[in-house]
This record gives sequence, C-alpha cells and structure tokens, in this order.
Amino acid sequence: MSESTSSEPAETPIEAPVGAPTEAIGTEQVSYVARLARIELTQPEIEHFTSHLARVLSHARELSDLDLSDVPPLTHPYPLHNVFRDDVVGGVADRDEVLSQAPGADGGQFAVPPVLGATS
Amino acid sequence: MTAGGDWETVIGLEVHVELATATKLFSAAPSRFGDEPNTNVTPVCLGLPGSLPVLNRRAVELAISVGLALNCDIRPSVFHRKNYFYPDMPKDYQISQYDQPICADGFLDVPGGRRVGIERAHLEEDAGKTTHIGGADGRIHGAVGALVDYNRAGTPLLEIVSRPDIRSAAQASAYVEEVRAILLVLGASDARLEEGSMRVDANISVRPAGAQELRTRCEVKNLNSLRSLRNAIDFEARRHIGLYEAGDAPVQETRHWAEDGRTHSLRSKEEADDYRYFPEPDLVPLVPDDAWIEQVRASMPELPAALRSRLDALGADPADAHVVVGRALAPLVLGAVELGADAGRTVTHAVQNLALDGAELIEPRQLAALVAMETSGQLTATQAKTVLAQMCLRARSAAADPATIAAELGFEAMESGELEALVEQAIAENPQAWQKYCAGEAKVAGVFVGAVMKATRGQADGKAVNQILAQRRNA
Amino acid sequence: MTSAAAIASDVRSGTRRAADVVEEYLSQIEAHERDVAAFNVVTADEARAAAAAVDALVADGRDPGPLAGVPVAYKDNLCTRGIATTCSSRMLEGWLPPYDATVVTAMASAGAVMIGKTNLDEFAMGSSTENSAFGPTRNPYDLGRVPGGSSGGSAAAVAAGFAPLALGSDTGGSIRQPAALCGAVGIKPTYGRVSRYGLVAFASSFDQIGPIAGDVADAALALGVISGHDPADSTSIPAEVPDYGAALREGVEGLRVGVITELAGGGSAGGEPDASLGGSDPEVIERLHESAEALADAGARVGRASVPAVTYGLTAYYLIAPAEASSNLARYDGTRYGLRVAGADAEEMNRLTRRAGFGAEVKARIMLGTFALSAGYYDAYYGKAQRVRMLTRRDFDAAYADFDVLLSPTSPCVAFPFGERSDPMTMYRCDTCTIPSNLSGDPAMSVPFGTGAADLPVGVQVLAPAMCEARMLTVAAALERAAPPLRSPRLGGGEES
Repeated sequence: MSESTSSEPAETPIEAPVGAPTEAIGTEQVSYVARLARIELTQPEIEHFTSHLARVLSHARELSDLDLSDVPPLTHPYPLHNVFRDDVVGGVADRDEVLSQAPGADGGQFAVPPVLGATS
Repeated sequence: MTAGGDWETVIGLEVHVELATATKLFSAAPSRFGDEPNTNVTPVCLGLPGSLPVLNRRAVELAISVGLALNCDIRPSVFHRKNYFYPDMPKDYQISQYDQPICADGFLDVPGGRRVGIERAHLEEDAGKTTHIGGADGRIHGAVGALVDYNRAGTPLLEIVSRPDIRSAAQASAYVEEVRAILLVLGASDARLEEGSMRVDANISVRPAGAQELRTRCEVKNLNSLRSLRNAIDFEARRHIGLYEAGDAPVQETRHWAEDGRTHSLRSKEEADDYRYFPEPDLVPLVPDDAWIEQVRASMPELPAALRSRLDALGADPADAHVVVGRALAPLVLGAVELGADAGRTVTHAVQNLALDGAELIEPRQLAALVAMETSGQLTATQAKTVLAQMCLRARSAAADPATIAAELGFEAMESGELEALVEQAIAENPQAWQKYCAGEAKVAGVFVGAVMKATRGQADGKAVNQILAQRRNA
Repeated sequence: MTSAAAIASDVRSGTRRAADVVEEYLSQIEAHERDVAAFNVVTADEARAAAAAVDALVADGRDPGPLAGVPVAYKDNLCTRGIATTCSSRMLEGWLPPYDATVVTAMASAGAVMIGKTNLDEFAMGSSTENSAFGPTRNPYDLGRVPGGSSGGSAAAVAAGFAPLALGSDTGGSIRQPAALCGAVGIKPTYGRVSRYGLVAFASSFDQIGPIAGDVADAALALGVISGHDPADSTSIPAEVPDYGAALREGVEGLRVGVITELAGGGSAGGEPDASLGGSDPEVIERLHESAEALADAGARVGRASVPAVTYGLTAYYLIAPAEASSNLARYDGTRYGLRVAGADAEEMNRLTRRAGFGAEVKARIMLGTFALSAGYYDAYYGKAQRVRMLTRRDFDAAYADFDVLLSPTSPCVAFPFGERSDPMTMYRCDTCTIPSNLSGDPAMSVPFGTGAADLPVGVQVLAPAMCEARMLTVAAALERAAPPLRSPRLGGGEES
C-alpha cells in the first residue's frame, strides 16, 4: 500500500480547443467539455449537445454587443463580508451512518476503483 | 550559446503549511491526525449535498500574522473554486484564494544576507488521503483499488509563494528554515517537513550567469526534507544545464523527486490544467480592516531575526542562537535569563538537552529554577539533563517543577560534611592511590571520584569531590 | 380544508387534535395522489408520530409553536435526516441524509408536521416538473397539464389539498412560477433571508428557499418561521425577522407601485412586445393591468417602471446558473453517496456513473456551465453575465428610487399541456419574469389573480427591494382581497375544499 501525499493532478499545460465566443461550437469542443465534466457521451449525444449548446450560446451573442467595461461583476447578491466561525470543535458525523450511504466501503474508508495517473 | 560557460540556478519555492487550528478551514470538525479514518468529518468535510462552508476566523488570523511577518500587504480576498475530479477531493473542487490572496507582495531577509521576494500567501483547503491497494511496491500502477479517508479533507493550508529570487540549494534551504522558524514562533504551524505538515515544491530553471531572462522551469514535488530539497535542486539544475549544453532544452512540467535521487516526469491528465476557477458563491468576501490587522500585529511575538539578535546580546554563539530560534525555544531561553538564570548554561541546555517534544511547553520560570539549582550546586550537569527530560515529558502540568522532579529522582545535594566523610573513606580504602595523588598524579583522582559515585549511586557532584581531594592534599 | 393559520390556532387551543388533522390530509392524499403524483414519498408514519408529539405538548399545557399540527410538504431537495432525499434524480435515489436542513428543523420547532417529500424537476432544473426521473406531477387544475416547476410537486400538493403548506426552492422562478400555475401563493425571499443549509445546491448564488401556501397569510406565517440568521450559512443575513402577520393588516394607501414596462409586453393591454422575451399571453397581461388598477383603487399610486436590464436577464441567468451547477453537481461522482456504475478505474467509474445518474436536462446544463467556465471562454460568457447581473442590480435600484414595489406577470403563460415545450429555449422563457429577482437577490412573490386561457389560474408577481418582504406582503394581501375568486381544482371524488 502507498499513500498519496498530494492529490493534485500534474500541472502541464494542454491545448484546449479555442475559438471566438461568437463562433459556432463544434463537436470537438463538446467532447472536450464532456471529458472535463466527466460525463460519458456517445457520438450521437455529442452531436445533440453540440446543437443544443450552439442554440443557447447564440443568445449569448446579445451580451457581446453590450459595453459593460465600467460595470463590475456581481458575484454575491447581498453585500455581506467577513463572516466567520470561531475555532471551536463541534460535533462530527457518525461514521457508520455516513458509510452506510457509500456505494463502496472497506474498513472505515470509502472504497473506489484504482486511481490512475496520480502521484504514488 | 554559453556551452561550457557558467550557469546560474533560479529557484522559486512554494511552501504549503498546515495551520495549527483546532478545527478545519470551513467546518467545526477537529483538525487532527492519526485518528481512525473518517472519524474527524462533518457533512462539510464529506461534501454532502446541502452542506455549506463557514470560514474559520483563527485560520485567517494565522494567515494574516504570517503575512505580516513576511512583510506582505494584507488585502481583501475572495475565495474561488478550483474544479477538478479526484476521489479524495470531497466536492470535486477545492476552495482556494487563487488570484486574490490575503497576503501579497512581501519579502523575507534570509540569514546570510539574501532578500527573497514573497509573491503571495493564500489560504486553501487540503484534500483527504487516498491509499492505493495492491500493485507492485504499492505503486498506483497495477493497483486493484483505493481507499479514501477524509480526516485531512478541509485542513487549513497556507501556500507561501516566493519570487524566483533564490540562487542555490543552500539559499533555498536557508529560506525554508527561516520560514519554518517564523511559523514556529508565531504558533501558526508545527511545520514538520517529514510529517507533511509543511510541504515544499520547487520551481527550478537555469540561465547563463549574468542573464536576466527566465528560462523554462520545472516544478519539483515530493520534497519531504531539507536534504531532498537541496539534492533535488542540484540534480534538476544539472539536468537543465546538461540539456542546454547538448543543444536541447527542458520542457515545462511537473517532476517528482524520488528515492533514487533523481526527478521523474509525471504523466499528466489531458485536461488537468483547465480548473475553471470562479468565485465561491457559498462564501462572502474577506475584507480585513486596519483595526483587525493591527490587533493581529500587536498580538504577534518577536520574530526570529529579533530573537537572534537578543541572544547574540547575551553572548550566545551565532550558531547556537540559530538552533535555539529554529527550535522555537528563544522565548523560553530569554525568559529564563530575564528571571536570573545563567545565560551560558541556559543556552547550552536549549542547544544540547532540549531537542525534545514538549520542550517548547516548559515555562521560563521552570527552566530558570533548574539552572539556579545547577549553578548553586544542588544538581550536577548530568542530573540537570535528566530533570530537563522529565520536565519535557510532564510539560504543562504542575509536576513539571524541577525541584519536585529532582526530589522524586532522589537528586538531593549532599551535605558537605557527608561528602567529606565519603571522601575520607575512599582515601582510607585506597592508600596507594592516595600516595600517588599526593605525589602529583592528578589522574588517579578518578579512583576516589569513582568510589564516591559508587557509594552515592552516582548522585555526588564530581566537581565537589575533586575540590575536597585538593583541599586535603594541600592541607 | 382549512388554512394553516386556522389549524395551528385550533391545535394550540386544544379544540382540534393534530393527529386528526394529519389523518384528514393523509386521506386526501390517499384519494388523489394517484392522479396528481405530487410526492416522491409520503411520510405517514413520521407524520403520525410528529402529530402525536404536538398533541402531547398541548395536553401538557405547553405551546407547540405557531405552526402547531400543520402538515407541511417539503420539496425533495431539502435534506431530511434518515428520510430519502432524491432531488428526483437517479443519482440520489435512496440517499438518506445524516442531517436535517435548517428550515426543516425550524419548521419542526414551530410545530409543523412533515407529511411528505415532493417531486421536482431533477436537481430543480426545469419549469414543468417533467424533468423528474420519477415521472411528472400533474396540475390539479387540469391533470393534462404541467404544474410548473421546478417546485411543481410542492405547488400541486398545496393546490390538491394534500398539505396547507409546502416549502420549495427558487433559483430562477421555481417557487413563483409553479405557484402561479397552480393557483397558489409562492414567495422567493431576499437572498440570504432564509438559510440554505441543507438545500441541495443547484446554483448557489441564486438558490433561496420559500413557502408555497393557499393564501398570503399562510405564506407570511411560514416565511416568519423559516427566516432568520443561520451561522451554518455564510450568506445568511444577520437581521431580525419582522412581524410579517402585522404587514398583512397594513394598507397600500400612498404606496408607489410600478408596473415593469419591459415585462408588460405581448398583450393587448399595451407595452412594447419584446422579441427576445417572447411576450406574455394577452390574458396574463390583462390580469396584470387589472391587478394594478385594483391597487390604485385601494389607494396606491400606480405608474410604469423601467428596468431595462431585464431583457438580458434570461441570457445572463442561463450562463451563470449552469456554471455554478456544473461545479455544485461535480460531487455526484459515485464515491461517497448515491449511484455508482462500476468502471475499470475511478475516472471511468465517474464518467459512467454521471452518464447513468443524470437526466438529459441536467447533463445539458452541466455541459453548458462547464463550457462557460472553461479556458478561454470565462470572460466572454461567465464574466460578462456577472456584469449583466450588476447592471440588473443597478436598474432595480434606480426603479426603487421611484417606486416602493414593482409588478409584473409571474409566468408569461398559464399551465401548458405535457410535452408542449420540448424545445429548451421555449421552456427557458417560462422564467423570463422571475429570473430578474434571482439575479438581483431581491424578494418577489406570486399571488393568484384571476384566470387566463382555459380558465386556468394566473399569478401576478410583486417585487420589492432587498429585505422588504413586509412591504411586499402588504401589497400581496391587498391584491388577494381584490382578486376574483378562484375555482377549485378539478380532482375526482369532489370532496376537497
């Protein structure tokens, strides 16, 4: 057995398919997005999503005509800041209750198929 | 172009430290290691649907104190989500300050005279721990499965990123040691490289001496000691130079430092770097105001550089001062000396006898009392060392009092009359040795000291025995 | 069937037993749930036990709280400890949360009795409840039509008399639109007014829990119970909860009411039709103007308000919400809970699990959101949409300088037949009038006001500035008093209200 000290995947730049936002989205980009989102898709599904995304994104073109250079982005609808918790230990989850919901469990841990492509 | 010429190594370091909080960064689960798997978890740590993060104030204050110690600007910050899938990442995204760190644009003067720029220090949450089962040598290759423990998930990490201002393995090592000393005096982390509460990644490149350009760098991970940091830097620099001199060039990549003393390329996942960062909607902006920052600053203890100069002023050897500060024992030493303890003895104990767990918990008055017992002759140097070891074991309890421990161990200073009687007895039993001693053979004194020690089961003060012998001879 | 307020009053005074109330509602469910399909699970045993506990408190001379013995239905994306919480998704089928949502705890503390978990569009993504993995819910007013969505089960349960009160969640209109289509009252509170802890996230910066009820008073009563600061939700607003009941007794004299010009289009009653918004049914626009006139008759000063950015709201929303959803739904990877489909390695297991566990609409939104955040597109899509969000905020602020509340239709149309809006863009337009409040974070609610095509209920939307729920309720109560009486739903057996 060995333990990963870091789960971070290796950081090597790759070429994402690029294109101007107004260009039609292609099946190559949809395949790339499906891999990022970890959803297995068949070729007909990729084609279906390509036309679906293209339709939705065609509406986004109306935004590209807007000059919003002096409008900052709004990320939080209500202006709160500095919300904290004191560093005081609270209750923990019941391990048996939590693991009873896991699709795979072994010896108090969550069991998964082998993890490829990580640091060992 | 400069084949065979001089090369300069350019190093930037990323130091990740686990902050010494009681609870995790975003949940009230204990931030503690070594417990049964998945026992220190809440719905937040497990990424259960419906759970929400709430920021730990103490973690932020520790981050601010480290930032101040590294001469950083303390800035408003927005947490972001870094999206990637991994079984030990419970939400399949990591919450991190990303491009709006709380600490930015600082510097650290490393002993030896070099100033290293600090690009930023930002807060983020740690992942859980994946254990790979099966496979030759426990490698991932050939593993039949993996087990995941989320106890570590959500532990607060501070990532301190230096600028590429470091030029040698020795400087890198000194930088890490100084960062570590700062973390220790601040109580921000226990900063143990070997145990993973401090992790260092090194970005390494080389360039012709005198050049200003930054060439292709490689990031080296898995550096779990200062020695591996130094060796990895030297190896990687030689590798780059070798490539350039052969007319080739390194590629930008992440490499793994392995036990074979080499760095190895990590095969990367195809989409690994498209993290789709965006502002974390479940957390509100963090805006440290001046009053809060000043309050944190006011509560900060003296930093290593100041502590070293105070130890220097006590006459401590610079190397000893470095060790004392590196062990976070400077407040103890300075406090004990302030209470009247002999500076030389106190520093010596800190350097020679206090490389022990619990040493940092000893109170200055306890150490001062111990040194006083020693200098007044109540304890021998050997006994003092034994008592100190016990004080470390019992630190934080009333039983750590040196007088109590000495009494328990039977280390009671001999009445001088009692000692004299024992010396007389030893002389009587070894008349020939006594004649030699009186004739000037100083080394036979050991016969009498040994006899007295035997009679007192080692508790007598050898120095005092020698004094009595000398008095008798000269009488 | 009686109101929640009347039930609580009777139970607290001991004139009616909570146990009897629960049985009445369970028998109504027994009679009509087969037709309506509002619930994913009916928690009859738990309801009986909770009602008995309420009765015991009353017998003990103690007060069970303002919702004593009131049966309540929870949208099945609210966590309930030990009771399956599915989000109407195969992905979470059978998942038993180890904790209760904060609102569920608050309702129980107020004496409410959980009677079941209601159906929704999978992970709250939809406007018709047709996207449920477990089959659609039917509108009690016409079983051939949708109840709206995504809180369609909650709205249908209230309309069908299965519960006097329900909780839903509203990300782009998911409380208000089904309330409108089912002739009920639905409130989306100010973002942060009600804790989101225990609400399974769809789009975190929009999601807000709120009540669906048979009348404004019941909705106000429930809102008072679930509102308030929760330290477990960092976005929860630390503010006192006003007496919403008192607001109902206030008049609207002198209040400035603005009808949103950009959302009053498409009908005979005026306003510029807007091609991108698609416009509203003429009957819906007529009801909107009648409601404005009713407020004027009651003493309000009614005018026309302009909130130009609402025309971009739909587009901005359908970039930001999927982006957040793509991240929020990443955790459904087959590792810790829910569905797992076996794979040779962890990554394949993730991909196959997510293929099998998510329905088509959820996949479409995850794909869209992942794309909008991916390298090279962030600024053009997500970044731009967040700026539109600020523009919306500013336009609302400007409108509220001149008006105390704003009015618009809730839904551009009445309940539509199943399958009619299979095209996603057509479906997305259902949310045109409701989305702007989710973008700004301001409160808004739907109040029934007459009927439209096919004699189906129409809802009018009252919008108010942040944290001005009381003022919004004052106006809603006035609308309710002026509204023409609504016919009863068409359920077989004829025994209901």
